[in-house]
Amino acid sequence: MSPMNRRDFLKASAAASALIALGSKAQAAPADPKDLTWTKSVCRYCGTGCGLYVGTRDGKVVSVKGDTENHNAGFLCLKGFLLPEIMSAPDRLLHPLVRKGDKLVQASWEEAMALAATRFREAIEKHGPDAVGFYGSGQGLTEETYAANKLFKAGIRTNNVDGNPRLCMASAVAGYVSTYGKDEPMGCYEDIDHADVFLLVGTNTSEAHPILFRRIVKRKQSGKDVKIVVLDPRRTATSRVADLHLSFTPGTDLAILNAMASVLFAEGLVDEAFVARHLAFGEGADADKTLADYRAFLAEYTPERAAALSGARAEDIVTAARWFGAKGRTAMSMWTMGLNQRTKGVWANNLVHNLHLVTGKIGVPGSTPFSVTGQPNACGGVRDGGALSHTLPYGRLVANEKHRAEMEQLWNVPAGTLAPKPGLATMDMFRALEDGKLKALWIMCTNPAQSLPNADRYRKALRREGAFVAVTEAFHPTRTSELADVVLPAALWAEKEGVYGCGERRYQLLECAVKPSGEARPDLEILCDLGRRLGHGALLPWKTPAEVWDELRAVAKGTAYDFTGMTRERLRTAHGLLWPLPAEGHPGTSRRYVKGEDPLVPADAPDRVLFYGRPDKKAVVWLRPHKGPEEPVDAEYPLWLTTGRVIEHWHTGTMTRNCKELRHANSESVAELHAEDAAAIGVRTGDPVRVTSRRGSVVFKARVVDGARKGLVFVHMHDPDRMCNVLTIDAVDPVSRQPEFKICAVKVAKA
Amino acid sequence: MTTVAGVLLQTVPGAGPRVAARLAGEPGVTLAGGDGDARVALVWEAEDGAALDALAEALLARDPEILGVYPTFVGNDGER
Amino acid sequence: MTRWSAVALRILAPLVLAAAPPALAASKAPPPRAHPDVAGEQECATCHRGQTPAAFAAWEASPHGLALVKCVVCHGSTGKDFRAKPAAAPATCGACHAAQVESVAKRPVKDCFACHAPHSLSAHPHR
Repeated sequence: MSPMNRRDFLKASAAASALIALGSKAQAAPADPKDLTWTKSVCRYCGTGCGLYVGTRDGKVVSVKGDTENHNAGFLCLKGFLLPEIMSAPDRLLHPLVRKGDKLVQASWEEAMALAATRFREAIEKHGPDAVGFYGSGQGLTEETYAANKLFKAGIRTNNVDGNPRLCMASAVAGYVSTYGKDEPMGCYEDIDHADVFLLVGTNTSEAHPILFRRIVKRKQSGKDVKIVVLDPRRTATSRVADLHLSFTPGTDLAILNAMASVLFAEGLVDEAFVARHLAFGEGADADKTLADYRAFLAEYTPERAAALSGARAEDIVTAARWFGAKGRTAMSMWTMGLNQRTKGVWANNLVHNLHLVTGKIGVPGSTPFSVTGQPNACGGVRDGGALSHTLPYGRLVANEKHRAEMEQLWNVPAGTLAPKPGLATMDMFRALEDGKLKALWIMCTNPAQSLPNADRYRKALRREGAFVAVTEAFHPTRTSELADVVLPAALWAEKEGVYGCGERRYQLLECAVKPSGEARPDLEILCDLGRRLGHGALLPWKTPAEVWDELRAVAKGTAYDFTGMTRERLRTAHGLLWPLPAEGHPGTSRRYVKGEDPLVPADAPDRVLFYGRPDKKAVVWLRPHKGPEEPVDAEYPLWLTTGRVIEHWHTGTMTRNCKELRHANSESVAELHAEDAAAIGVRTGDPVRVTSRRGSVVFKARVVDGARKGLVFVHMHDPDRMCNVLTIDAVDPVSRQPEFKICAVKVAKA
Repeated sequence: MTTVAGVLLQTVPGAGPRVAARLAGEPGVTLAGGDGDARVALVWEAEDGAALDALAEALLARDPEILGVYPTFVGNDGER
Repeated sequence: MTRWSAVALRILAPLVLAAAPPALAASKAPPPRAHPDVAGEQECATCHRGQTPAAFAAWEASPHGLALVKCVVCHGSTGKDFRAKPAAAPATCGACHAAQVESVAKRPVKDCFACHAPHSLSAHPHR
């Protein structure tokens, strides 16, 4: 034998012997990452909408990596990093379930769908279309949400179509619509890279939108004298980078925001030309006030009065306003649930917009009021898609006759098909279930029996005798699926294809990477099946999500959302595209309302911005007085309760609690207390405490934290066994119908 | 390099693939397979037995997930 | 005769290995390092701020600390998948730092930690 041949022989023998020694579990060459298949997609979690690639091998998701060409520059937070683990989690639902007596038993798809269709049909025939409803989700793909919206509104002819964005973004929507005439932010994430001053209000960006926080930190590190102002009763992880943190009594932020506006006027930081050209003023629902009215209104919101009311320091309010209003500096506001989940959420949103409008700090890179979105597809699917009880797709309204006629044309249904009255918004829908008016409810991709405020009340409603509840879910049990009459296994994330639209108007395609587990099916298929069984197959004729997408582009054409140029093929190759994008060559729109950037602003518009959302082409500064929360503290319930998130978990934890690294990490909801409050009831970290509101009572372990506010208790929302929503109040903003998750009154005692 | 060995590595449970990935660039080491859990099969080539010794010692020292190094075959190319 | 040559004379049968690998002179077997059972705890920081103060402080002051790339990302959970010394394999660092990981593969360094001190992650070019 030649030396080479002998060498090869020896190596082969060596390999063979080692492999034989492995025994029956031997696998050929172990993990070499180069043998993975990478599929372009988007994170399943928050509204930041990080682009990523899903790595698969042998039909299984084994890895993710960030998309370096997307806005997140390749970065993912720890939840996104651990996404592969949710796919093969032990409580993935693999087969349909049907309730028989007290138990849910495995059934075939045929049996489960036939039962659901029968119960829906019976309810409609006996009691009319409004006896049924659809409760969807900001996590559903755009195509799925659109299918449900079309089926229920145009097929069944009920406007009882709503979704969980009602619980998180509705006030932001109403804020944008009342101020500008159109929903959705006008800026984009890139504005972060140009902002000189950040106003972070009611957001724990560090934990709830980590990749946006990262971008803010980078800007602070690389920019010149970048200032970060944080308004939050608690000092959270976000405040680690704050130059100024204002704590205040929950619910008094309206006074602080008005006081900031007052300082802007007092110190000559208002852009008078901008005000004269672009702004109208209003009160209540009418934009019929004047600048003089506004200044008179602001006269009582001095920093001193706001300080007395809120507990914040007057000098801090002044500093915040001065930094925000400084001439020649850009300013970006970012906010989420601290402002939205309030009975005065719409007003709070208006007041942030006011600061940008009176200073003209809007429509230039780094200056924009940016509402941050919670869910991955609240914007694209539910808000833009018009899948709320008062809306129709792409900016149209149920109550508007012209809009209904447009949709009837587009959907090819007879004139008069669409019901003219708005349907039931979320809380009203579940109350209708409670009092028997709603007989059948279809719940898609969400967990209301854990996420609704005053949860015990609505858990009872879901089990009411005579109510029929069908739930599509990827996991079982969840606090909702355990109460359902039919549970259908839904394909999860990488198992289906569709579009998500994240918080910066970026639409991006999630490609399908693996086959659905078990008998799971994509929600689009399930809804088309339901549609056929209810006799509306003609409305849902699609074989693939791509076919739905072409219909969506046609429906949005000519509206403020126009994304005609976002063909499926373009989405496949791009790393997200920002609408409006009205033609195939168009690059997308970073900043709306800006001449030269927004294709809907005529080239000959006289000024740099045009607020084309309203007929008068102006934005409205609304006079919103301070008004406190629905349930302030009192002698019997002397502590404030607020709820929120931690970085390790997302929403009700059905996905993140399936990741072994996260299961032990902050998964148990604890009562975060100020040291003095803990001492007052004689507890230390780790001791059990009973937290009681007028609605319910839950035992948590106490945790004394730095940064807690005296008199305020915080619990997170991710624990199905210690649900904060047993305590929270289901009072809603009168305009947006969004509940006040953030503020209620409790008492805390050693348990 | 004249000595060839077949080697079985015993690792901490679950660490097999990671250990294998770390060794992918190691000179003289070729991955042959694994059980996907705690055992990795390799082919090593080195100057002589002493060099293989040294390699074994080095791997054990620097990777706490490697619990044991077990030769299954040793052959000398050109000697004998 | 080296240990390896000695072994050449006693080729071990697969059956022996499949049963219980004998502790040969050529192998040391450090005990697997499992994390103490702390099922009741909430956050690594709760204990590690005090138990491993240098590592924790270094992490907290690092870019990972600010971005809340928490312990579990590199070290796994406290269960069977716990890794005292995390693999700098592409699956971990590469999820966010793919370009850097690829460049390391081409260099004569074992992994990221050859240059980037663990926890603080600052680069030590002349370590």
